[in-house]
Amino acid sequence: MRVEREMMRGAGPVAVLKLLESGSKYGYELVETLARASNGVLDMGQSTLYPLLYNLEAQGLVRAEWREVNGARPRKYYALTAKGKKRLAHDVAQWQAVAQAMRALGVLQPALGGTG
Amino acid sequence: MADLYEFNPPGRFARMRHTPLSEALHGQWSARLDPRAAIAAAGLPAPLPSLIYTVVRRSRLWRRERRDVARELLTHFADGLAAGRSPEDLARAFGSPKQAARLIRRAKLRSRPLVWQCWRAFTRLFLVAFAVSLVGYAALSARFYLGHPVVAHNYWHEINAARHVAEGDRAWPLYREALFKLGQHDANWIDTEKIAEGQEGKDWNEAVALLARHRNAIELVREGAKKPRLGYYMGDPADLVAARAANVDWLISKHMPLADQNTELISGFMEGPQNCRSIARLLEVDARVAAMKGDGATAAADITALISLSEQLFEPHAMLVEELIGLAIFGVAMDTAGRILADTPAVLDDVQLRALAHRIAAYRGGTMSVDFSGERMLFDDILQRAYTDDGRGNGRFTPAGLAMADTLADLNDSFLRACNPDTADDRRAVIAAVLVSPGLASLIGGRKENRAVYRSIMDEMIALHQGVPWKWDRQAIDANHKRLGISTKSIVSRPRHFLVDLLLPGISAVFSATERTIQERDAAEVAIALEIWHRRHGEWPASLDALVPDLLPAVPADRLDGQPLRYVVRDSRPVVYSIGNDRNDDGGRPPTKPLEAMPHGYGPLSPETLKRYQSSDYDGDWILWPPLPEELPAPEDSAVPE
Repeated sequence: MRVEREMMRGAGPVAVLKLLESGSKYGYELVETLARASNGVLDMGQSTLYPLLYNLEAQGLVRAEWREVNGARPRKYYALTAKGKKRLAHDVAQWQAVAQAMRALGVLQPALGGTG
Repeated sequence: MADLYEFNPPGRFARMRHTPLSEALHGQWSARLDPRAAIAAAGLPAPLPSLIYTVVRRSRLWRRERRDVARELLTHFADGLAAGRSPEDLARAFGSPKQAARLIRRAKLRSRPLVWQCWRAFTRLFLVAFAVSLVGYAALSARFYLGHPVVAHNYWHEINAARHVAEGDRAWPLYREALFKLGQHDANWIDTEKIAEGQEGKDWNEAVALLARHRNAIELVREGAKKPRLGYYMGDPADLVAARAANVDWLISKHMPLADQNTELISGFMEGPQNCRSIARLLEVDARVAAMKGDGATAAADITALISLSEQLFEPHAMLVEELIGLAIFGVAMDTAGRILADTPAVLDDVQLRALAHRIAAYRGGTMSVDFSGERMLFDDILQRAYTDDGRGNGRFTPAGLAMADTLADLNDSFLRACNPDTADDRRAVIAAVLVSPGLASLIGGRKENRAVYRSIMDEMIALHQGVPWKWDRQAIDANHKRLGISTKSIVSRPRHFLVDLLLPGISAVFSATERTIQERDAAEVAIALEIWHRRHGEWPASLDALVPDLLPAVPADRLDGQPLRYVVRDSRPVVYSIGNDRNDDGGRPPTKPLEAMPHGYGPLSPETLKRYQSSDYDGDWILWPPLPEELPAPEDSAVPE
């Protein structure tokens, strides 16, 4: 299932920041990982992803750098900045609060083993 | 993907735009900023090159930014192909290139330097402001061009109604008849300069012949002078009928606007008052010739007629021009009396002298006041033709007002002229005028405001000229003057009350002219008293006090300082004088140019002005009697706006 555009506008940046938390990634890698990890729910077209990355870069939340890794072709890698890490922590807390509220309302199913 | 640009490797022209030199200007030494070169070099299968090219081209970013985006998309698709996906699948997964270009542009712009961001914000602000101004100006223009004045009031009728008298009490029909008889040539020819040299002068005989030829006209004038009122009606069709019946086309124009037509009041032809000057010249010459011939009765009758003619010109709602002509004619009467007393004193007997003195004293009931009600009407009439009428006394300036203002300014104001489409010289000037006019009109004050300013300045000026003239507050008068004066105002404030600037008469000059006339009246009364005293005592009195109270109720004041009028006997001849412009007594000595002593203004002068007057051509006294030689030019009077 693909989420609505407005939802994606809120979820997309935090999802990308979260993926970059584990280390720097390039564009195609982000697309693939996002689709795979979210089971296709957050599978955003590249026409959306790259502008999103450029926006995060403009806000100083990610840093971009052209690099060659293991002799492969040069790619543009994106990595979290300190400001990006702070924003991620803030956004994760927000999303958790929303999820908790949604669960309390019965919009979301309680997580397995969770307290609901 | 129909919305993709066709991709071709860069051609010669494209390469020229990306020469090392042009790239160097963008911080590169080779043609690497051309994304097409990079796309072509990558060798991606269709439709991916077109997709990338479309995105970067549509993004309209700087070259360096486009190159980076293209480079990133190239690696993106290369990665996708390496992962085993087809070009079509990758293109489909990419989404809309148009949307991508739009979003990428938006995101990239946010990364640009602060200076650029500021410049962009400023430019946008400027464009928005410009667009808003444009819309505003369009609305302003529509409002201006849709505005039409409503001419609701006929001031001609109002003035004529106030002047209306029984037909038998009107002097003008008799004067009109006299002028018809006199004819254009003789009316223009007759003047005192023709008799200035006396009976030996070259024009004497012709002047005497003219007077003989026109005895009927002179009798008609004397008859008219006995009427209580002038009874001149503005735009009176009876004048046209009379002119047609007498087959006269010089005095009354057949194009004369009629009162019923209700054209601009300012365009009203003033044949009556204007031609009273010809009548006055006729009487003046007749009086002087009669005196030279020893005919005191005729001379006295002519002077009395001149005084009556002057009085008649002060009609209800008189225009300022009529009142000034009235004052001037009274001045002519005083001058004539003074000259006869100086040159041929014996011609008038005691009875005639006393009668003349009483007539002068009774002139207009002893007042010299000037009424500005006609001028106020004239201004109100202009307002109703220049402005819309909101029913509450206010309104906005209209194109008709602009055209009229242009005419009123007599085309001296090039700015006004340039703003008037009706007088523009060519098509381009018409367009410019059409565009500029609404802007100019927006700078012009409203109807109510202009009327209030006009009345306020006029009322203040009139109030400042009340009381005795030697105590007038010149500083306040000058300060009020400065409320006008187009040349002293900025281009923005200048049009605000330009109608007031244009039409407010020189009130101070009017009051100064009035004061000069009062002084001339007083001098004539003193001259008559002196002549009677001289006849009684065979000599001139040592002081004017000797004339009081038998011949004068009091010695008249010098209107410049409030002191008794000055008097001296020099070479066995009396001289009556005022201290003149320089404000000091020079013992009855006139300046080098005698008329320069005639007061320009009354009231205390500043030390600077006084110093200027006392150390120049103005140094000397204003000789009131005996009169100055006639060849001196008459002073100009700037009381009436041109």
